[in-house]
Amino acid sequence: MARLEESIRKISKTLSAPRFAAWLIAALAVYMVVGSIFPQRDLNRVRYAEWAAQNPTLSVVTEAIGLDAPFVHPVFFLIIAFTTLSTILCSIQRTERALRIYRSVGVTNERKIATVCRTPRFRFELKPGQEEEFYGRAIDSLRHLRLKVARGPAASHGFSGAWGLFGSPLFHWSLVALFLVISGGMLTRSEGLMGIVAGYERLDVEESYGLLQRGPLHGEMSGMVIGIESDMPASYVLDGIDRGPAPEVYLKDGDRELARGRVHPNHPLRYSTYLVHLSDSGLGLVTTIVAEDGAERSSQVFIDRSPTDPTQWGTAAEVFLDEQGTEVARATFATAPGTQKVMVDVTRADGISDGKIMGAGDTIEIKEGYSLRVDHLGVYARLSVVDDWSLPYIYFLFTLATIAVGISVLVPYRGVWVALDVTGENPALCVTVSHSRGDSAFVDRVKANVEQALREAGS
Amino acid sequence: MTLEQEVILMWAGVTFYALSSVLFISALFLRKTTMWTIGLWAAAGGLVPHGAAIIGRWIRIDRGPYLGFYEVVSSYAFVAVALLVVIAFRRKEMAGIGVGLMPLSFLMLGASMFTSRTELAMTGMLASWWLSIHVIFAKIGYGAFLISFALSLVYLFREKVGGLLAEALEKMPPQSYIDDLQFKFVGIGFVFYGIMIVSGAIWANEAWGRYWGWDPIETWSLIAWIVYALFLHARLTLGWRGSKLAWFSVAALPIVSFSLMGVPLVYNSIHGAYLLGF
Repeated sequence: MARLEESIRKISKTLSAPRFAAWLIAALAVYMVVGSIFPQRDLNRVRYAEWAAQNPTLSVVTEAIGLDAPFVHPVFFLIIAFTTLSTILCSIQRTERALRIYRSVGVTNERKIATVCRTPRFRFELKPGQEEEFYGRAIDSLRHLRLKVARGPAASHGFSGAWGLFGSPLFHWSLVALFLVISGGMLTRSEGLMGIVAGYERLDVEESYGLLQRGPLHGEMSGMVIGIESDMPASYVLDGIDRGPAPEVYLKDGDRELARGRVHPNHPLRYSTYLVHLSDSGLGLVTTIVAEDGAERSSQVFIDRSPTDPTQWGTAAEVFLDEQGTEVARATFATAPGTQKVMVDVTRADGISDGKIMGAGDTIEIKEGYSLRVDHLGVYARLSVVDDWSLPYIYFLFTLATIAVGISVLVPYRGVWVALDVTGENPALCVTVSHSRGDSAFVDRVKANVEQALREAGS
Repeated sequence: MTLEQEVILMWAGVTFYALSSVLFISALFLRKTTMWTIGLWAAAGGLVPHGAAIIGRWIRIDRGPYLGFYEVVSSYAFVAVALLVVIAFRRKEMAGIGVGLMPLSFLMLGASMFTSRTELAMTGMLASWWLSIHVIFAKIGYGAFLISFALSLVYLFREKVGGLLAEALEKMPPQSYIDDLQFKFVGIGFVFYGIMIVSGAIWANEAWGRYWGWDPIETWSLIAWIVYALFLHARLTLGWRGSKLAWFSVAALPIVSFSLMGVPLVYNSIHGAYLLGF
């Protein structure tokens, strides 16, 4: 047990050592530099694939050591974990130190006199019999330094910015909280891309998303209705600036509307912990498979612009399933130039292919007893739906950290103790100086001021 | 104001800054610090056409100097010179920091004059009031780091170089004062740069739905901020002082400069519009 305690003490001492903290900060910076050298897979998958094709050997090496995704790599998390631990221990130390100094502000008792005179920064020998005069002058010199003075009979404390003592602990605690909130947010957030044809709706459930990333602790999807009004301008001009396509998005819980707004860059729709952005837009159609028993199954199909030539439209592929989940047919959809219709190529499960240019209301047989009907041709918006509670807390904590570091650097605690030592043969004036920023110019100024005051008093 | 008039004013600014740089550096070698006063007036004189050109362009294109290398870097130079002028006119003995600052500002403005002056349009993605906050704090933060860099140069000249150069800088405040002042400017820069990062994160969330994506410019901004955090840590907890810390400040400036001006040139970044206009 004693050995365990000793080990914990040693680890804690190492983690809270300023030198170790400095090495951690440096390691974090170096890691980020290295991590930024090579393209990251998640940042732009297309660009990463191009780079990997051009640098096959290098990409194998970077993938092997995790540099294709450096900021989700265990080594990065390890540095962050150590930094968090170190920051927690530093925060405790700094808080204790700040409280200790704060409690001593204005204390001028016998014990303080003994402490000041045991290890003074400066010691001035005085003429016997005039110590009161010199002591008074020395205190006046503190006031010239714009310090508040708590005067005792034989010791005085000049100080300023006492509350500034808490700047550094507050900064470190804010950082700790920031690390925890960001981690909590990552574990519980969800972010997904969902395409919706203008004039239609989808549910906030996993199946509605084309791409969905959920933190391991994210709860159930909300199941709320996300819809887009049919009026979706391709070019929305606001304050003279073209904002591009701007769908009017609404959120509903059953029939109850929760939020509504036109979504365009820098203008997302907010509701509770949800934030809805426009990610992209394109052509959208609604199709329905009709079985011979009359059962219908609708789906939304999205045609995006070609990634290589944005002036051209690409194609969309869709697999159609029946009620039992068995594949009925596959189809590709493409624009039919010069028409307001869509070209549909169907490959049945039995291998037979068929193709047709279709408008709204047209049907094509895709299997015996099954037909595919185009219900609607229009545009669609791909929405980014983020569910993240942590954002306001992250902003608040970062702001708090910034204010705290500002206080710590710009409003430093300055303290000067002046004490009369009458225990020796001759009386002496003992002075200690502290400055939370370690400003040696302040020490020089204190010394110069006290010296001048004593000179004027004739010492 | 037409583009031609703006360019003429900008070149007038470049000329003044060049003259000011020459005066500041010559003063060191000739040990005539009175030349600093003339150099300072030349810098202040350069601010007039430089500022007029920035404002003229602002009015003409109906937005601030936010986009493209020409606008961004020339406005950094403006902020740096303006800070120098304010500091040195308040405390004459501080004019010596112009020795480090004016050549840098001259180079920045000069370099920006050889880049495209295309008037990039404000897109929907950029049209946000977070842009102004983000950019203003970036400029003030960078200005503070530049001043800290110049103070470190002064400190090191006096400490390490000695001879004529150190003698010429004798009129400046004592080394302990310079040491603390450069630390204060790093503190100010750290705070403003931090606000720049957080305002950028808020803006990214508004525009793209994510507050942090490890895009190269985000990563490098954080690297620069962490490097200055290390600087503060070194001073406050490791007790670094004097030339050790001054060297740190000198070494940190290229990192923050790269994060602000170099990253879009080297990396494929979604922040390309900021300097390159795409």
